[in-house]
Amino acid sequence: MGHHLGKLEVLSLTKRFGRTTALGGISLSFTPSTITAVIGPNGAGKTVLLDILSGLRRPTSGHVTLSGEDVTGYPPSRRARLGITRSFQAARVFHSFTFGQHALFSRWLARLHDDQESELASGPGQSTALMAQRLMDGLSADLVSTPMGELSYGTQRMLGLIACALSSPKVWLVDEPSAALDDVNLSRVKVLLLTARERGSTVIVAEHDLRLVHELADVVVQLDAGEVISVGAPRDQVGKPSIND
Amino acid sequence: MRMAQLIANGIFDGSLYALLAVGFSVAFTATLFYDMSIAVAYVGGPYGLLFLMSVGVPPVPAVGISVVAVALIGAGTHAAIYRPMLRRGVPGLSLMLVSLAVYIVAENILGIATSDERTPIMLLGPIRQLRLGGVTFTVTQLVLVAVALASAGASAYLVRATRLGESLRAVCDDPELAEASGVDVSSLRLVAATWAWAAASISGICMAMVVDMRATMGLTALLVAIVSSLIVGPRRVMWVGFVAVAMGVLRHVAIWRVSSGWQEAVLFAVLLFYLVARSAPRDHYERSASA
Amino acid sequence: MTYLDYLAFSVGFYVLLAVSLSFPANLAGMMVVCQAAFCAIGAYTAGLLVPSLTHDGGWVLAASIPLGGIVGAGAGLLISRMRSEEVVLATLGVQMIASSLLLNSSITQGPMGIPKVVASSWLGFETQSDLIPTLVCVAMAGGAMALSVVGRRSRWTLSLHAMHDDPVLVETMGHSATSLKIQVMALSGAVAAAAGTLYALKITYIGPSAFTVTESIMLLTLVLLAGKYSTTGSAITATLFVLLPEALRFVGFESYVIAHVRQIVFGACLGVYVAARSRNARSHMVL
Repeated sequence: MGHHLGKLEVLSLTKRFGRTTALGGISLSFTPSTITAVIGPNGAGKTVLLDILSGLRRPTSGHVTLSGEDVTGYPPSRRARLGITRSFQAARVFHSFTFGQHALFSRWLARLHDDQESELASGPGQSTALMAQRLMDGLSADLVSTPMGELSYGTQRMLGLIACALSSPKVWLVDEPSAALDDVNLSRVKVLLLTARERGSTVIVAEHDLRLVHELADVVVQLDAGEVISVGAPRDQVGKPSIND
Repeated sequence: MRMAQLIANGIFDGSLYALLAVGFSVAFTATLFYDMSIAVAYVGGPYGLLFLMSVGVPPVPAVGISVVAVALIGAGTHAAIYRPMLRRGVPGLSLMLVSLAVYIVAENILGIATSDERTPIMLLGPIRQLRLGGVTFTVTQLVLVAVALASAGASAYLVRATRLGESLRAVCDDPELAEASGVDVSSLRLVAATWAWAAASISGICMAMVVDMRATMGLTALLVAIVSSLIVGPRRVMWVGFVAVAMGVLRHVAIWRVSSGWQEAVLFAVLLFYLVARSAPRDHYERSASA
Repeated sequence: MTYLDYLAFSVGFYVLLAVSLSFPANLAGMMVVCQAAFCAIGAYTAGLLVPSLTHDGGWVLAASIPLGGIVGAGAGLLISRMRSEEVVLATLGVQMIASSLLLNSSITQGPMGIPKVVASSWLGFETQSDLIPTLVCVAMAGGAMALSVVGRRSRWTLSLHAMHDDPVLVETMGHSATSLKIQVMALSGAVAAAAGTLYALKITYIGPSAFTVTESIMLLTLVLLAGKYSTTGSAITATLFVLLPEALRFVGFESYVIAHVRQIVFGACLGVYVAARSRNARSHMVL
């Protein structure tokens, strides 16, 4: 299991905005069946890293590979079809769509990697998509049939994350999952992330909340000013300078 | 020698475009939307002048009254139509479309009033020609260039070196922050829009003294102004003026290679080329951001 | 041409044009102001092919539709990375360049235009009837509307709606916004070119004054007044656009006044509509 799932690597990745270096030649490897938390202060380059991995920004130099394939020049849509899914820090939904309609897009994407679905049907546990479907089914009918633009910000965020999970991602890039979510919805999202890991997905989470990081992450990458400060297990980060220092 | 004449003619035309472009830039800096209704002022000024002269007002006061009247109409249009929308934070595209609607209505009213005819405005008497280094020009052209460049220069100074200009630039960066910092954004926008309409009407009056006016001429001139403003950025008002002059020169020099009927096509090809080149390297976030 | 025939053709023509523009404007949120230029492609294709190469209206249509599609796709590629206001400016530029081309090119015969664009057969069936363009136009307009109604829940249409809402998000969900824009512009160009060909074969004369920037702006006005996502609404506004001057004729206005009054009415409606919609919309939503 997992031969088709996504080992994501970045090689000497640099991103400059004018004279500001957001990422300075970093090299990292993200493996399947792992939740990697990327932590760091504001301006460390966490979101820029996720933007480049998803194809929304082009690196100034360096490469991104997925299972050995160089995807650096691929647009976001092509990467999404290869299984790289991105969740955003801000609530990002199709405002005039109901959640049901939004979820259609996720299902179309999931069908593109339906080999994962059939394997998951026979494997232990549940697929991420099935879990997300269960969560979706548990939502009130009003929530599912109301245009997303009319829902609260927190609800939009949660539904956006569920929609990503419905696509059965091979690589799931999650930007600050704890932002704007109450404890109930956050626990739903934790289940989704853990299920995705169980199913072999490569999960990369940019996060400020260290409690969540310690709960979820198998590996922690610490960034500061565009440089990698450390990579290791969460317990190894204890004693290191706080990210808020 | 012919090239020198073409360049001289281009400088003349470009100076008039510069005045319109600078006025547009001042308005855009304050309001952050492409106000297509400024094209109405470009033709409204000369037609207002024509009307006043037809009822016996002497030329010089008629010019002043026409410019002031058009400026007041612009102020009224801004206050009644755009200001409420700007206060609500309506996106630039919606404002642009509303301004296009204003342009359509006004252009057609003028079309009815003028029976769609080309109208010569013979403001001055026999035109005295001068010759310098193989280049022929008229006193009228000299005066008009001087007026246009002085007005453009005054606008540039206003934006660059005065407290008012500082406030304008603050609003351009972040209207909400400027408001919170004590700038009366609403009044500033009204002043900027009024000045843009005044500048456009002066530009149109100057142009009308050398070409026959038609109600549809405003849109072409405004698009040249917009291109000039986009190329260097609306805040760099002096450079906007220079680019507009360059556009005027390009328009005339193009005759060296193509027939005069293609002048406008050359200008709009520049517009298209610039917009494509500007958008080509954008990442996905920048493509969906507001201009 | 009888009066009813003229009315029927005019309605069919403007409905077809409005539907063609509703694809990019209403479905995808692309405010294109060069639809008259796409229409001119079809018209001048007819003018150049008839009678020198063929007298068959069907074959002329078959030639102009893909040509309009190719030019539309090219325009879509040019504007694919532009912001919404830049799309308006760029397509205005395209329209102005097209108008210049029509006025100054020897191929298009400049301001004199091209006369005697008469089809004497349609897909091999010999006929001199000038009712055929009307019938074909009305049928195509009806077909285009039916297609858009049937296809409104299709994946492609939903993708366009999604792109209209959030082009960044739609990319991350596997749909290329660039590709969608090119596709929708190709369709728009093809349908507009078909309308132009039928116009040429009906009127039997084409000149540059029929394909100006004013026409493009008016078409966009009609489509925007129809409302977001509404292709059927475009057909209604297009019909009103044709019928209003007829009503004004009874009032006794001169022809040139009628043309202006029509534009004033629709222009004012556009302004009021956009302003009113923005009253209720959130700041991130446009139309």
